[in-house]
Amino acid sequence: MGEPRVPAADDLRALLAELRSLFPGERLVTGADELFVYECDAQRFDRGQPLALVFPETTEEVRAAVKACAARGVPFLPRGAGTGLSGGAVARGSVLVSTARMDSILEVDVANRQAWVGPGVVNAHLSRAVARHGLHYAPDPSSQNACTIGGNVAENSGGPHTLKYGVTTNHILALEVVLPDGEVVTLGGAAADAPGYDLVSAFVGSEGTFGIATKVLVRLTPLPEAVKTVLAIFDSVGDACRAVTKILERGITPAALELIDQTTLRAVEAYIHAGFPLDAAAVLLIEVDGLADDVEPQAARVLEACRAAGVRDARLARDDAERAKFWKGRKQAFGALGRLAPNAYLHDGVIPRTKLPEVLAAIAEVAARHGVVIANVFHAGDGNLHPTVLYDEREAGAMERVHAASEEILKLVIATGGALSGEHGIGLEKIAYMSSLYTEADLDEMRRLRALFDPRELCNPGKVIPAPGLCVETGEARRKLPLGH
Amino acid sequence: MAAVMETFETPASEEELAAVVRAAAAEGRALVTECGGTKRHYGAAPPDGVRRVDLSRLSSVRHEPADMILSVGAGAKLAEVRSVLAAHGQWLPLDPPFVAARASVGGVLATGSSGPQRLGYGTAKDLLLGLRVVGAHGGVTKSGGRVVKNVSGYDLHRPQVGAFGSLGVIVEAHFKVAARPETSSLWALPCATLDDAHGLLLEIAASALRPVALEALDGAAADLVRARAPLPGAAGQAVAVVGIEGSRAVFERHARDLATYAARGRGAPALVERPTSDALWEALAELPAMTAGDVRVRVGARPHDLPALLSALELGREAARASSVRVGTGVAHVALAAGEGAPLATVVERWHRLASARDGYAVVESAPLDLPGRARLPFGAPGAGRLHAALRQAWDPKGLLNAGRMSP
Repeated sequence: MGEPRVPAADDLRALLAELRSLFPGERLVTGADELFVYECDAQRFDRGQPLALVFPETTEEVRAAVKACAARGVPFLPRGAGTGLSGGAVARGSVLVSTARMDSILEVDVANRQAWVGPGVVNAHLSRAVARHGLHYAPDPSSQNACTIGGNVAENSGGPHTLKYGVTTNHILALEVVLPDGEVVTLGGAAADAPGYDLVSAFVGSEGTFGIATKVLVRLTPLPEAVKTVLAIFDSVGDACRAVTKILERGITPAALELIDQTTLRAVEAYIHAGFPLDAAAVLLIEVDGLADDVEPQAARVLEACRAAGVRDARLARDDAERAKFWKGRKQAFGALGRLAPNAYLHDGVIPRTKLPEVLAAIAEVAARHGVVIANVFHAGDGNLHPTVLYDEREAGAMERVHAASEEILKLVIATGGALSGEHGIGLEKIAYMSSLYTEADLDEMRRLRALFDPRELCNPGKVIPAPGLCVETGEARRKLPLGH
Repeated sequence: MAAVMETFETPASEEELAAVVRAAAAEGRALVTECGGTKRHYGAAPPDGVRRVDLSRLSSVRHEPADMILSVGAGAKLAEVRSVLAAHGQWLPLDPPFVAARASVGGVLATGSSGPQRLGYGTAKDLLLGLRVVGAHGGVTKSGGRVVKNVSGYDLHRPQVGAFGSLGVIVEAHFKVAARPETSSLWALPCATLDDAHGLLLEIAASALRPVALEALDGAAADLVRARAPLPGAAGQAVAVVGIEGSRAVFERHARDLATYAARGRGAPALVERPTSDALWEALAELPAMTAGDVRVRVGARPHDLPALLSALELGREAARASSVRVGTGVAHVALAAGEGAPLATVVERWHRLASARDGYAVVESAPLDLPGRARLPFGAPGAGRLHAALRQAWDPKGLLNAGRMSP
């Protein structure tokens, strides 16, 4: 794992010739200028130039591309919309297999609430397409207007509404996969509780290292009969965090429970005018859904829990328009932060919910000590933090400060018994930290699983799991990479 | 008895368990793990002479009420876990069978057991956050953790669910738990046939209502439940059951809407509330225990394909003794009178061919251990693909862990 193998020049020529015959015209990209935009994903620090990019339209074409690469020992990996946030789609020296043209919703089974879709189908497009049947695809990453179902499968993506409805793995029933040796297999099926090992669960979240999903059978979820959104305004971040625990303790499972801190609120207001108060220390956006008869009482109990936690003010969104505005503010918060600084580094740790007040206080202290601005906007109900370090890479010493602060944040998360990533994945970015979370024996099990799907390590090599025995050294070498390049 | 179990080990810690597994691996001797031992008759039987390892002493329970996180040893009994959580107004929303007989958390996970309420709350797999496992080589590894969302590395824990311990011995499991719902009740309506009850519940599943369970029972299955809890209808009458949990408002809405379906039945509906509902929930969940003397077949298909499939199976012709359907999930359980293994195998294989044509399956879930020709029955196998076989091979090259339980 690690550095890409360098194929012999003859092999390379033969591969490109074969890809050319398979993918006519603009369906093959080899020019450095055009490949430039495919050097990174939305994380942007980790970069590398792909060898080539192909746009297959069918499973058979994916298979042909994979076989052409495998025959010459050239690595390859799938790419959806490139909205990933851990450098997982960086394709240095590899052939990128774009799923962008496999974007058809193949079959919607309304009665059984299932749909077969191409991996390139955009998350929000699927929900829109089935809305007239009273259904939706529940996992809703903030990038849902761009990210694809295939990418969601690779990353086991979450989103605000996964607090109640679960993450991607809870919604995938079956997959058609082109394995790294070109074999096409179907994992899982349309019927529940089928006997046998659950390889769908193994594949979901494998970050494109187990093969390329070419068709996905997703579960569709009925739209709720009614929805209410509460905006709760707090004078302290600690009170907002305590309200989170109080709400859940009362037996309410909100559809979403999001915290937005003051730094983020101000950026969002300047950009989107969502109607958030500028002087609040934090707001909670709390959504309850369900039967029409039940949402009012649920919202009342949410308000009660907020009051018990010392809320300054809490109220229901007046109408659908205001609710939409609140959510636009939340989902575009990361983009809005871009107005505060030219560069942003987004974390994704998960901690036990009750540790939120102390960990957020510690993060504020880290920011002050290193002279960086850290904004917080995150899935509070899940304990899934998104501290965002804002900086200007052109400033002298900025990178060192960001690096130092980031490392402390990850260590804080690990020290609480938390997880490195709740929904963005390990990719390249956090690979050096895997050995602080797992023992070498744990990582060996993961390597074993990887070897089952991809014994030659041709599919997205060098991601997720560090090479054996090299963790510490690799960590030192890698730590500079995401931030310094 | 299908298996002669010669040795009996009772490790008191993860380290002791690991040592037992290492010793078995060194000897090249198969071992079978169990906790409550309530589901020995599930799946294929282990070979004679296996080392039996009882995990009952690995029964730690760590509950973080404010974080709503639970970590439990594999040997912890679900009944005890329930009382620990209830003290804080919380619960692990799982209602598998054999809880009264002291089913353990490890066994529920290994067999992938679930109950009527999985429609509303999901299965153990959906609530599972992470595992500690002793592998075939005797090493301890973890996957996932004690947080509710986690994509740090590959998911090695979900594939352990339903693997019958053939991919490792579960030592400890981490779950997310929930606050207990304010109300819990059941609405039941006698119906002319199982098929009628099934059709009615599919309509309810398609409505705006959000029931946590939809169970269709034929006359025989309904009678087994009637013997233990109040269920409307005359003896031998099929019944449609709707489980309702949530706030008072949720209860009232369901009660109101469900009343409009009453005329579809053959008799008066009943609305069973707490505390009586607890006994009815338990009886519904324990149906597999009440038919443990039969050969129990699980049939799965897309929810709306299941009625036609069940009718194609000609349950009556095959001496089905009791049948029930988990409507909305698309899973049916059919209890066949125990007889000779070979002819029963022929029946289930025929059913499986019919089900496969509709992307479904039929598999024997459990059979009495002393059934003649039991080994002929088609129990759950690792799966048809090359990867499924390779997974077992990679995780347990000598095939020692719970040997034979996941039949080839």
